[in-house]
Amino acid sequence: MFLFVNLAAMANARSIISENLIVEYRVFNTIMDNRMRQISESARLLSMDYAFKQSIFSVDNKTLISIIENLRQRINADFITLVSLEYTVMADTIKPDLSGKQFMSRALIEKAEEQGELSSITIREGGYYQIEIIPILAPDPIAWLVIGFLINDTVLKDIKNLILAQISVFELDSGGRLKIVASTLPEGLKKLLFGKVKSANLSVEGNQSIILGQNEYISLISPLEKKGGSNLYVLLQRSMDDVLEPYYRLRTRLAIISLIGLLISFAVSMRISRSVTRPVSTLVDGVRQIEGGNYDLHIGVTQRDELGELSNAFNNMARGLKERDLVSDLLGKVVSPVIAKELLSKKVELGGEEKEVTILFSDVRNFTALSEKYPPTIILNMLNKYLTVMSAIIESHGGVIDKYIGDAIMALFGAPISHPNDVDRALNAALDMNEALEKLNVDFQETGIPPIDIGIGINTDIVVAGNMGSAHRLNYTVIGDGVNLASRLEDLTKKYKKKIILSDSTYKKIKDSYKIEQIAEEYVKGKSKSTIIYALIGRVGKE
Amino acid sequence: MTTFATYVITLLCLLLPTMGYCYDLVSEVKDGEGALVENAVITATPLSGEIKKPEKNLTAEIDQIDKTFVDFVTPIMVGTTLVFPNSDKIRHQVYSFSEAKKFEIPLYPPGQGRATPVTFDKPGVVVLGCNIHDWMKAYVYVVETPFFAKTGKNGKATIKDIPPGQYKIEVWHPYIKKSSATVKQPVNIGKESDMKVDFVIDVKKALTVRRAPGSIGGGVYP
Ligand SMILES: [Cu+2]
Repeated sequence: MFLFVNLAAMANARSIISENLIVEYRVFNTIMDNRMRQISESARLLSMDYAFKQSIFSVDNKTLISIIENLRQRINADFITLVSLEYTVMADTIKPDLSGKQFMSRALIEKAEEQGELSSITIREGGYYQIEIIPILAPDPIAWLVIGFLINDTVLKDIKNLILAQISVFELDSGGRLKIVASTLPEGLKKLLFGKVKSANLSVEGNQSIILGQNEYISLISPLEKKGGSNLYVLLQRSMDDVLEPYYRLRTRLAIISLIGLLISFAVSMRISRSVTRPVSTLVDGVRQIEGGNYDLHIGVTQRDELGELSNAFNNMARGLKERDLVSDLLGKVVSPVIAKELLSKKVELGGEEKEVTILFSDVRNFTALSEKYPPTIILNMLNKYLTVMSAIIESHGGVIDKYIGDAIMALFGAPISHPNDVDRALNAALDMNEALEKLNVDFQETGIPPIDIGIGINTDIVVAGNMGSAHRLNYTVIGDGVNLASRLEDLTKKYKKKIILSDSTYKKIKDSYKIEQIAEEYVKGKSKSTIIYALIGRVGKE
Repeated sequence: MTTFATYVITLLCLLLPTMGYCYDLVSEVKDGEGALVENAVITATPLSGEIKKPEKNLTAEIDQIDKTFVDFVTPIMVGTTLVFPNSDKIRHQVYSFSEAKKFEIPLYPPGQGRATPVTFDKPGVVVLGCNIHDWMKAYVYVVETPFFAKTGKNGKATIKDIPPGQYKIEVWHPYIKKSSATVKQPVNIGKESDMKVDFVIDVKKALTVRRAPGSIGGGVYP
């Protein structure tokens, strides 16, 4: 397709150039003639000036030269020579010392005498000039004005602006040697004319093709002078490329369009691969990472399609896994890892269930007084040690730390996971806590911390247990009167000077044997009925 | 003595024209193509070199009619005074740059005797121009002999009353080419066979400023 278009375009271009060159040659001649005519017309007008005529015979030579020079400047010629009827130079604007010498070409003046005036081409001082010889009439000729216009690159360039073709004026001597007088061709191309333009080229009728460098030039050679007084020729040339330029532009545009098409399809396939292949491989990579236990990842797939949803789901999954990992870690800090696992194995949901739970409340007695007496760092150190030890004991018995309230610990037995012996677990935990406290106090004394005393209240009741709070911040806890009672019982340890006080409901559910004393029947705040309270002293057979 | 003789002969010629004592020379001038040439001047110069001085001041005139010099060619003898009447309604300025007589008559008004007369005291060709009308041109041919005549449209000129003797007969024309044969001598005036001297001359195209088209009247000469 391209080739076909190319050939058609070339053939078309050739015929267009051929036609253009002929027209352009005519235009060239007209411009050259007009240039001469206009300028010599003004010279003729000036030559008719009476004062000018008069001065020719009445002034000294230097003045005459300056008059001629002034005339030259007025009409913008390159030189003017004033020649007498005896063919001697009267004045010359280039060489003042020519005055009185024979004019360079008597034949030219004689020809002008014959014709009245003359247009020709002449060489002086190596330059090629278009010349016009006009008489100074008074009213017969009294002298001749030879007006010269240099043929140079600038002149041709001016003409080229009008006709577009490259113009070269050259001379071909009898030996066939080429001399370029002037040309609009770039220096590099000008050199290439040597060897390309020979005598044979002159006889070519019409256009001929001359290759200069990479470019084909359709060329037209014609004598510069119609009357043929010199062997100067004018060479008009138009490059095929110039004419084909619009076509080349079109072709380039086509190529660009195809390229853009290619780029677009490439981009589309890139996009497809990016939107399908890459997310899939990212997902696979993600799955592998999760396989390896790294939940801390986020897949940056943001597209809004099935893959995007999948990635979102994957990210949610990873986040879920990570949260679970984190929760299990956190749970592990507060509850026994076993319980944490058990908790995590169930679906965590808001709200709770009614459950029978044994609540253990422990508190450091007169902690407030202690914290006033000792600097906070010591108190904090003491408290951390105390809570760590106590928490470990509670967990070892299957209890769950519900919360720390300052120095107080609230622990649950039977929630979230029930055991048949939750009450016994609580009691044993309480007893162990007291035992552990004795050892702790020994340690404290060694480090200058005063011994502390604790009270523990235990109550068993049906409470609402579950995750409470918002979806983001869940807190597993229990709510109910039973909690308050446990706290109350702990409070009562101070009043009855007992270490562990149990409620009646707890007492009734004891399965093992313990040393227990009934203390009193107490009315507890917020309770209409009184309850019997017991003090747990120790285990049986262990005194 | 000889001056006296010539004087007598001339007097005789004036008194006795029909007696055949003096002779008329007829010339016909053609160009190379056989065309009759107008405005050629034929002169007869005695080979003896004896030329009688005119007894009175010679005068001639070149009028200006319709911005044209009339006549186009005026042959005069050395010493002749030319007057330049102006028959137009506008002014003219007559000048000459010719070696034989350089002069300039600044713009002068219509009428007779308004321009200073000019005496031509050297032989030669004097080309007259008008400073304000480029095409206006006239030739004054100043000769040393009193025997001259100008060809008319028929190409013929007759020099009247030439005393017999040996003469040099010459032709001149404003546009004559140098290649032309212009002299015939000796011509024996009085001898029947020599009384008609014809010339064939080469005439070049005139280098003349053309009068603008549409102008009334002549002014454009061959
Ligand atoms: Cu005039």
